Amino acid sequence: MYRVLYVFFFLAAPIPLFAYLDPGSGSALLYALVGLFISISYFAQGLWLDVSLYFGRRQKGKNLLGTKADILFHSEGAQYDHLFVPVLKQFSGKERIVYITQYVRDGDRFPVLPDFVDHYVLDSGAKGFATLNLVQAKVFVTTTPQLGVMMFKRSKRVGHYCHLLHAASDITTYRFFAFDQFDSVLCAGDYMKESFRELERQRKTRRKQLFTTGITYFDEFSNQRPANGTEDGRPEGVGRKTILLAPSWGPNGIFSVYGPEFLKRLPAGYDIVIRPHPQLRISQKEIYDEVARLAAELGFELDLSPSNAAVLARADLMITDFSGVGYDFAFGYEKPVVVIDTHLDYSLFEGRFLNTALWPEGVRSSVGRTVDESNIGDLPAIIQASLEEGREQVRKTRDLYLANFGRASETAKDQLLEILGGIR
Amino acid sequence: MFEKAVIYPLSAFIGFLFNAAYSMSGNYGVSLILLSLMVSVIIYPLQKLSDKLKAKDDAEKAVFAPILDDINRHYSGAERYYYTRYLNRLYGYHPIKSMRSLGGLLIQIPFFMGAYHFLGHYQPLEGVSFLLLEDLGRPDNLLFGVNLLPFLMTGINILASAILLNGKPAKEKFQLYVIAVLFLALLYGSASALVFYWTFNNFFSFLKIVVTKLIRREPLLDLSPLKTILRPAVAGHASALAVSVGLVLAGVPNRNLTFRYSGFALLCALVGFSVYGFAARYKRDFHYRAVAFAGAAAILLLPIAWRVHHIAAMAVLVSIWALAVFPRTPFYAFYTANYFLGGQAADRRLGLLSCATLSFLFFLFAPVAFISSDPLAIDNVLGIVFTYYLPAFLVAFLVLGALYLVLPRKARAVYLFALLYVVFVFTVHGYFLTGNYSQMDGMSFTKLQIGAKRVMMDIAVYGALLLGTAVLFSKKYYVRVFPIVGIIFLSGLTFFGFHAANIWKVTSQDVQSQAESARQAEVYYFSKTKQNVVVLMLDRAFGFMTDTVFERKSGLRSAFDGFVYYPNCLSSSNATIGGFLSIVGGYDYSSAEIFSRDREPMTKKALEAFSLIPMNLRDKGYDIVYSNVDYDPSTLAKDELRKLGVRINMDGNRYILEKSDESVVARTLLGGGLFRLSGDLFRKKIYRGGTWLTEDPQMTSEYGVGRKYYSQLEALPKVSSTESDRNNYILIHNLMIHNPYVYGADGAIFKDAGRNDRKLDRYPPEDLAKFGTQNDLVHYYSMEVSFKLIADWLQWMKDNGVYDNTKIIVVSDHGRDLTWAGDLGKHTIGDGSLPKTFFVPLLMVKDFGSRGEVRRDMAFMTNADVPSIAFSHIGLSNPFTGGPLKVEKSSPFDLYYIHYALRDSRQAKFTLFDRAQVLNGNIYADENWRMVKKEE
Repeated sequence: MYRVLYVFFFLAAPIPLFAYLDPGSGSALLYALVGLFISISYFAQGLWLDVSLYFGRRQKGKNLLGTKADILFHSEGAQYDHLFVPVLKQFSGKERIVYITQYVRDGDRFPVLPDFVDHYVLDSGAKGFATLNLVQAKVFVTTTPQLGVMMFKRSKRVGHYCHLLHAASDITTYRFFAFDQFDSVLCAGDYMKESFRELERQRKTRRKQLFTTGITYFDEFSNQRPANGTEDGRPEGVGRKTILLAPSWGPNGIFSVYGPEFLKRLPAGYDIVIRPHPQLRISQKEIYDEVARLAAELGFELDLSPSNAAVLARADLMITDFSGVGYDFAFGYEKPVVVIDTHLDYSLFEGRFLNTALWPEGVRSSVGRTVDESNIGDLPAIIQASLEEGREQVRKTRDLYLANFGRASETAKDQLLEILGGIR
Repeated sequence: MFEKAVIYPLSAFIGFLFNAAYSMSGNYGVSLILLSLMVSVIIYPLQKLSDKLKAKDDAEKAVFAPILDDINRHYSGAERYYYTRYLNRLYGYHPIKSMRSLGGLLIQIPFFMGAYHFLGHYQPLEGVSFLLLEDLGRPDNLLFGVNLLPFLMTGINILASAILLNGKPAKEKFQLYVIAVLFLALLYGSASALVFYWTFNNFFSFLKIVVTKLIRREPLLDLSPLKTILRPAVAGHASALAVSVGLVLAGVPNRNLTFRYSGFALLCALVGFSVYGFAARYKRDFHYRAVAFAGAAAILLLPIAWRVHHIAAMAVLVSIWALAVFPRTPFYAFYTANYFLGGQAADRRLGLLSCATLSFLFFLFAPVAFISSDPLAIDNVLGIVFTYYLPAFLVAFLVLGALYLVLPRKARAVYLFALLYVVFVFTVHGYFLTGNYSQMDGMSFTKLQIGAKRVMMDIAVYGALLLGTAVLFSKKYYVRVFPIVGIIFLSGLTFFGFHAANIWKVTSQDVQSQAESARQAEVYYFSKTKQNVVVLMLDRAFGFMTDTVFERKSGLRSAFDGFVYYPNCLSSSNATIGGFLSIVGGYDYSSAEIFSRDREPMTKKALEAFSLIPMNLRDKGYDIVYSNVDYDPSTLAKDELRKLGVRINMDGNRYILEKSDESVVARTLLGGGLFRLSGDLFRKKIYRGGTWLTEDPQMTSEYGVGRKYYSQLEALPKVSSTESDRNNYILIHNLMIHNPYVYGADGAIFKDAGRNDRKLDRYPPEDLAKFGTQNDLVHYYSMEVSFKLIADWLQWMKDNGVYDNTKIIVVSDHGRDLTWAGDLGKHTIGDGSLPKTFFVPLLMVKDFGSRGEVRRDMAFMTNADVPSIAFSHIGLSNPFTGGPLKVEKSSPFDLYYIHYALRDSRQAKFTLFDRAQVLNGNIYADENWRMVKKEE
């Protein structure tokens, strides 16, 4: 309401001023008030976002809004589906479970949901959130951050918001205020907890319940992976090894820092697969085009498939930058990672607020080797050495940090029931 | 409402304080200082409070300021908005609290409004001088037309701000500097009393800050940045001095001008080098070499350029200094293009926004803003906007935008640069440097004067904008361009809406405004039963031509029914500034009298002369109108005349517009818009003397000016009415004969005629043979045309039954140096330095009830006889001398040959070239004319 008054105040102000000044000098003052437009635009922007949220709530989900869930799972994108489904499968049907996706689950790539799960689909973006902000549930589980900060707001009819981590990383590279308003977090490991507590201290926000849970989708890997040999059935040590280059995008991505010419630094004698971040194609098209051209010229494979599962399984070694996919690869597949240190600017992320040593900086040397401009020339040798190393170091690191490897889903279910019990 | 409720109480309060101060000190200047002191004391506690609030606000914000900085640095759009909002919430800070830090300014505003309203228009301050200030009621004009006091005021303000915020972030300082500059813009053209008062306000505030800082033992100012400025500035001054010396040594003819321009050079150096000083961290050696080169070039080139034209000299000077100060200037455009070629594509969003902004400013903002001061001047303004300008805007946007999209990348970069440059030029001129060109009538200025100085300043503005645009294209600032253009577009849109709403309001106050405009359409009221007196002053009409006119156009003899004309007539002056005073004030205001009162300001004498008849007519049941009186506007206080009940009317051009069809009006108004957008450099070219550039391109400015004055006479029957039931005195000033270059034989008018353009095949050979030169010929033709137009009005008076109760005097104030002198014979006096034709005005009189073919009377008359003839039926006295109106002509009769403009607009004195006398009351005997030796 204040905001509306504001806008009117500023709009109304110039007119009486104009009335008493003669036109020459009056207009000078009037025009100087242009500066105020900046303030107005700030408030107008807020107004617009609020209005679009308000009208979005009439969309869909009429049935959904009448449904009162015990536990409601919310998945914002298809890439998170594999995070929730293993947990859903752990329940017995005693509780009322609702699963909301902001994408349509069709085709073979999505596993079938248990019968007792009520599944609803909402629009992606603002419209979907408008409905989401009104749902009824005792416990709301999501992996979408910035609850109560961005468009994703707390529903008055939800008792408890729980965040389920979706990467074996920590909170360092999340954007500002990502977890502040959650009631609990299901952490990948105990190592994360200090960071949460530190932010709570700084911001004087409510103390969250922190659970030691693990990463739920690793459960599937640990069940399926053959004891020996690679996932494509090829016996280990036979044929050419596959190197996967999977960099992130933006100013700290490998291709921004070293240019598309980075491809020329990759050694011969390997099958090389390039899997650029999907956003690179959108936001840095010129770089992407050059990468594609060079890849073709050098005879590298360009992987653009929607899911990374196949290529992760195939690869023997991954080269990446600050992207969290490196930990998935290392912890999930127990395979070596070479991290290109592009000196990420943490002031963009929650890492800005943490003055202790940042987790990714410490852990990456334990799961693989780190390369920066000082030793980039040695890349072929480093790759060779990494491939020759055993998996023992990776495994040890994983067990040190990651909790409940292979049984994270079951743990998560128990913890959610505990939360639900607390609410009842 | 706002004015009554808020402004008047404040204004009255300031007035109360000021009068109290005046009763204490008895001196207006001292009173201003006292007023400032009192206001400073009154607002001191308020400011203390505001400072406290601001400190509190700063402290609150400081807690999360670094986080906010990072949010602004890394995030944009909705994300930035949401994070900022959340951050505020997290720290319990509501954005409305930031208004607290504006408290200091908000406290000042009401006092400023009060002072602005009171001191800006306080009559008793007019003409009062104080120390260096000649007239507290006007801008100080201390440095060759530049007002210095506002700069002093701003300087103190900026210094105070710098001290106050010493050590604080640049962003905060910048805010205060912007406010300081805002006040400079606001007050620059204001009465020096107001500026003086505000200067002292700033000074007291400065003192307060310094004392506070000294008490707290805080450092005042970090002077280290000054050192970087100082050295190049000294070098700059030395070079400027060398330029001045060079000019003097080169023997430049006009010493006064030389020193002015040297001063200007000095100023250029000071400003340029100060700016440079901030950036002088790199390549200093290179720079000194550039300065040395520029100095040498200036010494060599300037005198040569001076011989060509002094504007050329100035252009050379400015370019040399620009090159010296910014040696890389010409390369910027090149770098710009290069920058784009380096892989950074010219942004489509920015390009299209620029196209839209440019089209919008040109087709919608500018015309509407231009006409908004007088929306009734044009019928159906909003209709024109919607039927002509809106489609034109859309088409222009599509064409410019399409061009942008189809151009190859390299060309697009250059195109974008050009678009942005024009947008900035339009914005700076259209928003800020709008200029103030006196009153407008329809689409014409009463008088458009743009001096060389202002053109030079505008060249500097164009140059600075070019440089500024180039700088914006650098990598560092490029991201700001889009928001800047966005703000320009949005503000343009708002002001367009504001002006349009205003126009709509004015034009749609239907019944009332129709009655209003009907009244405005009629200018001259005659009574059928009472007495009407008309004095029609035909500027520059020639008395010795009257015989010829009535010979050649014999039809006019009966048209001027009942008139007597006096060919044996003199004017004591060769210029309006002198002659007009005699016509309205009689012999007490002849040039000899004016000259003998040389110590009194011209403003006083002119006001006396123009007030004389209105004061005599008080309580005599007269309505008085002064129409199109074009007496030096800085000299004649028209507001004072209004107080005497004189209706001041400036009209004639609406008539031109009324006759034009709407598409012509639309084109004309577009010229008005372009006029506003383009700045002093092009404004004269666009105005073209009244034939706007956007009208028929064949028209010359001589036609534009001529058309205006022709229309004033042509419209006379149409703007006259017989509705008056009171006596009427109508004084009309017309400059048709003053601008005669477009007239030909038998009333022909040549739209393409220039001033003495030597296209002689327009004129009948026998006329050329008779009058000799084109100049003489066109002056004669204009006499014929004006007589014909007056005759039409006389016919209207007869048709409407007001002829016999109307006394009509057609007179002029002076002549011109013609070579054809009719019966005067030799056209110069004595050795030939002084033309007789300057001093022989037209005088024709028709008394009440007089009828019959026009008669010639060789009685010796002067145009100073006009008042006593006009009101012979009443009898006039001079209220300023207390005696009766002087009617005797001196013999010999004194003639003053003066410069047509006053020597100094504040001193307001004549520049006297020569004096002459006419003996024996007969101008047609050559031996009666004689020069007066200077020492007499």
